[in-house]
Amino acid sequence: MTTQPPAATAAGLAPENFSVLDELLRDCCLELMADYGLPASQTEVDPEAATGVAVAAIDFSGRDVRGTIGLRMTSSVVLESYRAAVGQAIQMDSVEANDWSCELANQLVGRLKNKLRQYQVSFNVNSPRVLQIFPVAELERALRRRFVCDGGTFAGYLDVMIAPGFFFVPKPSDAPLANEGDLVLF
Amino acid sequence: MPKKVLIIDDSSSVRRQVAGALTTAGFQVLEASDGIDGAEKIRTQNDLALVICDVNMPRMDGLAMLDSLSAEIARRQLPVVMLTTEGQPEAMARAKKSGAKGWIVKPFKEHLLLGAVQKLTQSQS
Repeated sequence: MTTQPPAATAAGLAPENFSVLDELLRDCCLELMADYGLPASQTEVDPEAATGVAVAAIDFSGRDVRGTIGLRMTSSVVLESYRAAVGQAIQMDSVEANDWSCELANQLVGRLKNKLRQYQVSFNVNSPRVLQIFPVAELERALRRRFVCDGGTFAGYLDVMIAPGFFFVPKPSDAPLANEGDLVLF
Repeated sequence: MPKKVLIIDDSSSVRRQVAGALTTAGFQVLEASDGIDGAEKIRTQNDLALVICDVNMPRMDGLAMLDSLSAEIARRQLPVVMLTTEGQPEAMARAKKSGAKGWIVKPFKEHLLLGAVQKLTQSQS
């Protein structure tokens, strides 16, 4: 499902670009959590209704796009995805839980970067960080997708600036891309 | 004597995840949290059987570390596998040129990681 142009305007994006990024953000979020055993579906649950949340964000910058991608998760999503990955239980608000939230944001931006390859868009990625104060107003202006999975909710945010005149148009690439989970031996 | 694998990643969660898989399979594990820490451990640990290295890290990224150690890695025939969220062909080509033997895109499949580690360390027994 693609959100209609008014949301694109709110996010400061041309409708064509909004459509592409909106779908990519949705796919990246769903695939990320599915890989950790948390299949999800979209929801419009008010993000403020849930307590016990973690927010991690990561900045990226390239010739055609730059911005911030954020991931807001209820504690169960952080803890369950960690258990699926590492096979151990951790406490929310622990150093390990914060680190894992950052790693999930890192993997989310990695997925976005890999998917943007088809548009020959690339960017450099900064180190992820946990946001202690959830900047609701700032992130709610951004492109966002909310999801619900077993026992929790999560949302992906994409606050992006696009170079003037740039539009996402798929372009063939002659070099193969490695996808999530792939192993390539040289 | 177990073979020693160095894991370089700024995420302690990923280090723990990889270490868990490797120790269960009988490897000894050493950890480093960025490229500078990793380079230091590669220089000082002469009995490493393999290195698993992230790309995007603070202070020094994995590709810069690999570039700076490419001669030493070649001399010691030390296999390096990059473990990263990146799947860009240009980055993979750079890693290969600097001597990396493999590339895995996170999130990794444990059996693939172990298979690669066992294959690349096989000749060192």
